[in-house]
Amino acid sequence: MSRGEPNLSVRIGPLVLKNPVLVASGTFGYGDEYAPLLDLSKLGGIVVKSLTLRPRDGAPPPRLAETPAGMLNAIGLQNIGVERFISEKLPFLRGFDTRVVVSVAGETIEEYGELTWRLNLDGVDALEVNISCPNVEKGGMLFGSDPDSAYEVLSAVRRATSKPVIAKLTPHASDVVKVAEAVREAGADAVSLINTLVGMAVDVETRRPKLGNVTGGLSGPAVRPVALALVWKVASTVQVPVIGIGGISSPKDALEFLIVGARAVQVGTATFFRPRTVLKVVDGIREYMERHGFGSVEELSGSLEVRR
Amino acid sequence: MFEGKAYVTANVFMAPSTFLLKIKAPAVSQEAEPGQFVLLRVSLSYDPLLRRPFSICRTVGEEVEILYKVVGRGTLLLSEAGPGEELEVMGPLGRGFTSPRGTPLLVAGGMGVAPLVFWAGKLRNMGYEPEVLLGAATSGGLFGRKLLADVGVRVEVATEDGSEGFAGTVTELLGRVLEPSHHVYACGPRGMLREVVALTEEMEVPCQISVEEVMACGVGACMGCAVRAREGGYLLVCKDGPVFDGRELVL
Repeated sequence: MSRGEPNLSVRIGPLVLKNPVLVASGTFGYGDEYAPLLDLSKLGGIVVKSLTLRPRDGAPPPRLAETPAGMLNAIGLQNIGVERFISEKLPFLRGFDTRVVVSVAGETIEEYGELTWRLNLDGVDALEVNISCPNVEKGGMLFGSDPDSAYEVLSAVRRATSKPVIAKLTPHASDVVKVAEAVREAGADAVSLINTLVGMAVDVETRRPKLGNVTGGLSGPAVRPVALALVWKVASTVQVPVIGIGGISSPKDALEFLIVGARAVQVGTATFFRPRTVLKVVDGIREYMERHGFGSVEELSGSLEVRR
Repeated sequence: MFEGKAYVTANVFMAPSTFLLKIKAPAVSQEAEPGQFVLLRVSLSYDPLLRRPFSICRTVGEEVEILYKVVGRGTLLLSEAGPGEELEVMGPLGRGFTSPRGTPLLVAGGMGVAPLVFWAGKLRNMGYEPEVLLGAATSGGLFGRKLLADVGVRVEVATEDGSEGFAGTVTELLGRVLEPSHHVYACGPRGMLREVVALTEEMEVPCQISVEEVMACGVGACMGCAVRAREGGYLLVCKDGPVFDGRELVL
């Protein structure tokens, strides 16, 4: 059944990745932090920490709390701002044979457009539009929860660039399918989901929330089944390439997402507890494709056999 | 920086719920500087999920020693690790202590002794004669004394219940012995560090502190271990620290 070396390259709209595995925004900094530990050129792509127009200090500590098979974070989009990213981080990232996807976050629709405009630069291969951050007062998840505002944001981004655009969706929209349809109509080339789920933890001895921001975003293996169901739903109903995210910690986890219809996946929280997970996922997908006779990722994507 | 497997060679009982873990990790041991830390994965399951940060207490040949207290599920699991058990280790990480401008005076509160043992040894090798103030609630918490004695430094102890040495907190003891010629290095609970920084600032004595925060990545990528900076904004314990100048932080 084997047809030789499987082709791991994958097309996400106009964006071509050498393999379907990226690292998720917010879990990989700007790439340089993990460069001593793994060869960035082996990644399908790097989605950098979300950028805002001006640098942001972020949320008050504590910013992290561990939960069963997961973690809560409330970083509050701390970042160095788009200008410093361009001058200090982008030149380094350009030295690797991988796709650089820049995540953008605005407080207003105009800000998304302006940020995108600033990033029309060589070395920026695509944009991921963060309309799903649960830890900011303005923007973020508020835009992504509603199809109309999601449409507005993606239209503003689409007007400002001809680069591939990915909309990162929140699991908290009342109907994620409607949001996915809206961003596709606005011109998004792909959607990525899920961003974190809103969660909370309390220290009962002090009766204080464990996070300075009170609530935060839940990630890690605990969220994977929720993410998988949403990816399946969007991939099987909306004509848009889907990038699956949510607790992927092994090749098998990634394969689940591909089988239900994701065209690519992002590894996030797993990088924290096992920094080279992403490389294992790439190798594991290749091995699986050889073993099951899949010649391309497109063939594998959406190969779910549902018996009803 | 090393990331990979390391074997437990010993997990020595030091005091109730306090252990000295010894792991064979030559790459870490060789590179480690006093004040740096490692991330340890205490379980291969997803619960607990994250690696735990620990100050390096000492390096002996190919071994790295970590002093820890059982405070939760992660450290409880760690206390059950016996010789030969495999752990995933990453490090050394972070910025350590830097050379003194004066007579080094080390101030340790409870578990805060861990990085200061390493630093005291290095200071001795550099030709300094560091003095150490070691504080605990009761004499049972003075387990660091033996580790410091091995290094050959002079230790003055303080117990809050007066069961041994100076009766009072280690910062009260510091208030009595601090001189303008000192360079203070401190590690311990936040409240203690706050007092140490206040005392040293009053006397214009240089002071470095090692701080703790909940951590995920250990390399500055997740921005989770933020501490408030006096200049505004935040610094990261894993990358900008864990050793800071006392005047850098809002404690």
